Amino acid sequence: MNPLSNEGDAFRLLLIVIVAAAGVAAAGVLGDGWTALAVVLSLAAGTVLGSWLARQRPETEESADPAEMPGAVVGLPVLVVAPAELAGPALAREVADEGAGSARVVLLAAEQEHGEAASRAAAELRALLEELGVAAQVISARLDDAVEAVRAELRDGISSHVFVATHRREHPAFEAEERLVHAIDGASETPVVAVAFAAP
Amino acid sequence: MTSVAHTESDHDHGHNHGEHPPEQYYSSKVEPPILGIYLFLASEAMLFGSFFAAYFFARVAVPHEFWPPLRPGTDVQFELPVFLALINTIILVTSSVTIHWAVTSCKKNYRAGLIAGLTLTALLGLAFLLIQIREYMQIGFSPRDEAFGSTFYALTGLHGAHVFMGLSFLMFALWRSMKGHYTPKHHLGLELPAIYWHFVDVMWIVVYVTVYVI
Repeated sequence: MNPLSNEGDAFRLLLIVIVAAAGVAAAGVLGDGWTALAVVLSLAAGTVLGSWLARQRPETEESADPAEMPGAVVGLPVLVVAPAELAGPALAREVADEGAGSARVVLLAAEQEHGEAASRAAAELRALLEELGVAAQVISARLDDAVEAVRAELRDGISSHVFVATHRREHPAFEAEERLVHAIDGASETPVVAVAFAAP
Repeated sequence: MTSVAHTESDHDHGHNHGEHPPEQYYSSKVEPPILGIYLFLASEAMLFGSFFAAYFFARVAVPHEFWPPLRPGTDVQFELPVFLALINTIILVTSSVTIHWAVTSCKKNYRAGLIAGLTLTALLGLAFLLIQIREYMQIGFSPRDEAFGSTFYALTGLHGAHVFMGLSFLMFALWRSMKGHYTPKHHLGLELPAIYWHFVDVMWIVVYVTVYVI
């Protein structure tokens, strides 16, 4: 129970405090202020002792819902979204560093580039990722259809998270790519991570 | 959503290194926003603790028969509106239930429940403040009336200020809910005000029992 980081636990703490306060109030009304103080001290000692005993008990219960467990998404493929221009060794290494053994990659290209160049970039990136031990499935999509492509990929399979590669802040394409990051984040319940790369 | 942290790749070519400040380091066990609320609530607890210390010091120093003190020129003690404060306590506890409902609704992707829960919580918080203002106007003593008056207004006023702040956070969370900013997985902006609201309620329970009942 951690009432400082979880609303449900904070609510449970409030209910416990209400019960404890009722005990203290009863002691104060039936006895006097010193009786109430004795009850407060007893409750405080009981809380400390109870917490200590709870820590001593070995944890045998497992979370019923694996999705709630920290790190439960480990092992799922990461969904990578990147401009085709950034499909190089730096991107491949960053994807490998994400820790996933597999990745699904959506390479984005402007309409006039969508075709042979994007297919070549996809093949190169797949090879780079495989060299780094990441099994990759790479597809290309038009920049204008990026959000739809991400939605479709997320519908087709569960991903640990979405990894969006962008140009660096000083690059002219950065603003549009940042808007795309927020659009993907808004369209997806899967966590989104954005990382900026220098253009090769 | 605008909560995506945008970082820069460490794997770019060498000429990019040193062109930007290093990433901030933080514990992998505690997320920075959660660490922030830990520190904030710890400082709040210490602030309330100092006010309670002043209250108890004054109360122990004053003979029992003069707490509350006598009305000037009479043998009658001041009276605290215990029943009105009890109503306020019920209002605040109810508001904790409604905000818990709002957060639970958000986690279940039930948007109507989220908005209704937040609206009800804000209305209950507002009712609490209005009742407290009315209590101040009719209570019959002021902060100048000995240590009793000073500590009473300090403790209840400090708490009232926290309710006002919590109410502001809730109004902002309500506005964001109406904009559809919260999802079942991404709702830290709702969770933190809710934790704060429960904290404010816990403090009121302690204030009520200490100041009005005992």
